[in-house]
Amino acid sequence: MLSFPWTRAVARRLEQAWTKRDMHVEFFGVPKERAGVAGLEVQADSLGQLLGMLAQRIPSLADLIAEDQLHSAFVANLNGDRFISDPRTPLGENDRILILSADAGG
Amino acid sequence: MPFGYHGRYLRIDASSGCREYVPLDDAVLRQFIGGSGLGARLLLDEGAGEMDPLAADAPLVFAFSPLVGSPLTTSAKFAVVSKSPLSGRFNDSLASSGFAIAGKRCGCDAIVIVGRAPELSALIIDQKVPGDAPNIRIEPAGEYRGRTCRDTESGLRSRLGADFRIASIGPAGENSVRYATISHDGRHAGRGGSGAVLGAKNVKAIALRGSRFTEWAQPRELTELSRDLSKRSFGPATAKYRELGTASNLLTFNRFGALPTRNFQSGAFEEAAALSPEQLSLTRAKTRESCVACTIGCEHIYGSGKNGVRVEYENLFALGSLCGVGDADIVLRASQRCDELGLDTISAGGTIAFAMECVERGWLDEPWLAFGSGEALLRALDLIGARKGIGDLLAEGSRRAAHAIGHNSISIAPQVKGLEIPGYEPRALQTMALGFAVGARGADHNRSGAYEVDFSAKIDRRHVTIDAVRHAIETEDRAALMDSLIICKFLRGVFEDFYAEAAEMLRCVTGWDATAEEMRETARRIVSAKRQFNLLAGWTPAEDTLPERFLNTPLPNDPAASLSRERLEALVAEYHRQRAW
Repeated sequence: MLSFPWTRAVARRLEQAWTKRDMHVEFFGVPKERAGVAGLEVQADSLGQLLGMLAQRIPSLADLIAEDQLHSAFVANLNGDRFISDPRTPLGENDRILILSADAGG
Repeated sequence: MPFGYHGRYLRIDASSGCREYVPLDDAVLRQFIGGSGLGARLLLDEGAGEMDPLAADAPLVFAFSPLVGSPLTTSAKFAVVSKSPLSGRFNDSLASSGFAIAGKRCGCDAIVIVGRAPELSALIIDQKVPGDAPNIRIEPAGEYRGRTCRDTESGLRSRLGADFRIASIGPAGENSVRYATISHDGRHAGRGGSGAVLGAKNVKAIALRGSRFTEWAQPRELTELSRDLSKRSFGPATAKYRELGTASNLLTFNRFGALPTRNFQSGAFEEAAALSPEQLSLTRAKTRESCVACTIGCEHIYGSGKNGVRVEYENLFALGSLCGVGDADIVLRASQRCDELGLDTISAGGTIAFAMECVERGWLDEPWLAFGSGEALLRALDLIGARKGIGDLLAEGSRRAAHAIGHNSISIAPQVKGLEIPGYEPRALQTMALGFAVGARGADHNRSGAYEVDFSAKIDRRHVTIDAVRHAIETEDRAALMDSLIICKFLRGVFEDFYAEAAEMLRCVTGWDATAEEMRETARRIVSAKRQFNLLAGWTPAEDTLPERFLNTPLPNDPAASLSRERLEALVAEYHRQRAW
C-alpha cells in the first residue's frame, strides 16, 4: 500500500471532520427506563434546548419534561459535579448531562 | 376527645400480665399527634431515658396515629419506640400494614409493654366484639423459639385465626442482637434494635385482632382529600418507587461516587451493575407488592414463592458493595437471611464490613472473613443471629466491636451514636453528613432527608456551606411530622405545601383547626422531644460528629469529596444554634 508523508495528517483531519463534537446524556433510573437507553449523544447550546430536543426525540420522556424544564421529580447534573435547573444554563462540547430522579433516597 | 383517637393507651406488664388503660390528654395528642411523636412523649413520661433498654422495666411503645384506618393512602403505619440497645439513645422504627390497623382497632392509640414474661411468650390482644372488653393474655410460645419471623407469624395465625395481625421477632431478637428487628408481614421496624427490646421481655410475638373503629370529623371531605392524594400518588413524583423501587439508587449513587464500598473505603463499586434492578430482573421473576392502604406499591420482589426477596437499595448496598460482594444471588440470599433472622440489614452489613476491614488490617484474626466473599457474608449473618463465635462480638454492632478490638478501629467503625451509616457516602453528600452527625437516633436516612438537598441545585454537595444547615433542619422537621402523622415518606414529592396539606388531613380526621404553622411547630416539638430524651440518656455535644475516617481524608475515588473536621464542626455548631439548643 502506498504511503505518503501527509497520509496520517489527512486521515486525522478527516476523522475530526466526521466526528460529532456532541455532549453525552446519561439516563438513570426512571428516565433510563423511559428512554430505553442508558445514554445518547446530542448537540445543544443550553439545558433548555437539550431537554426540548430529548422530549421531541424520545416521546416516552415527554411526561418528565415540560417544555424546556424537567418535572420537579427529576433533576439534571452537569459532569457529575453540579446540579442544574435553569434552562439557560450553557452547555459545551463534551459535557456530560446526567438525568435522574430528584428523590434519591431509599 | 378529638375524632380519630381513642384517647388512651394500653399499658401491659409482661411480668405479671397486668394491664391498664391510661387516658391521653387532648393537649398531648395535639402536641405529639401519634407515631414517633406520641412514642417520644410516652417514653419521656415513662422515664425511659435513664433505663437500660434491655432491662425488664424498660418500656417498648407501639404507637399508632389518628390517620391509621382512614382512607388516606399509605397511612397504615405504626411506630415502635424505645431506647435503643445499639445506640443507648432514642429509637423509633416504623413499619406498615395490617398490624397498624388491627392495633388501633384494639381500642387504643398506643400499646406500652414493660416487664419480662417468665418464659418465651406471645402477647395476644383480642378485641373481637366491639363493645366487649378485649381479651388480653400472655401465652407460652416456646415452640416458636429459634423460628423465623415468617414461620412464627404463620404458625400463630394458624393457631389463633387468620384475622389476627402479628408482629414477631426472629432468632436475632431472642438472642439480644443489638440490631434485631420486629417484623410484620415481611416488613420490618428495622433500625436500632427494637427486636432485642421485645426479646428481652421474653415476648416472641404480639398478635392483635380488633373491631373498635374511630370516627372522622369530616368524613366527606376526608374521602375527597384521600381520593385526590391517591390520584397524585400515581404521578411522576412516585414513579421511581413504583417502576423500579429504591434499588434504582444503586447505579445512580455509583455514578456520583457516593455508593459506600468496602466499609466506606471507596464510593464506587466495580461490580455495581451486577446488583442493579435491570440485571436482577434479567434472570428472575419480578413481582410488585404494596402495604395495606397504599397506592404506590414500592416493593419489588425478585424470585418467586418462598424464595421471593424484597429488594431495597439499602440491602443491596449494605450486603453488596459495602462488603465488596457483587454476586447478586449471594446478596439476595443474605437479604433473605436477614429477614428470617430478624436483622437490620444496614447494621448487619455495616458491622460485617467493618470486621472485614479489621481482618484486612490484621486487627482481627478471622481470615475467612474477607471482602468479596459471599460465603463469609452468609456465615457471618448466621453466627450473628445465633451469637456464636465471632458473631457474638458482631451482634454488638460496630461501635462496641471496635472498642473490644482496639487499634483505634473506632475511627473506621461506620456508625454515628452507635447506629451504622446507611448507603450515602458522607464525603460525597455533605448535607447528608450533617444530617447523620446530628440525628437523634444516629446516622439515619429516614430521619434526615438531607441527601435530597445534595441532589439539587441548592448547594454544592462536596463543598457545603452554612447555608446547608437550614435545608438539613427542614428535611429533619418534615420527617418528624411524617413519622408522627404517620404517612409514607415516598409521598413527599407529591405535596406542593406539605405542612398545609398535613394540617388539612388532621383537620378532616380530628376536627382540629390545625394550620400549617402549627404543623411546623409540632414538627420542631417532636424533634426537640427526641433530643430531650437523649439528654436524659447521657447525650453530649461530642456525639454529634462522624467517624474519623470521613474527616480530613478525601474520598479515594473522588479527591474533590473531602470534608474537614473544622467544616463539619462549624455546620454542627450552626445546626445547634438554629435549633436553639
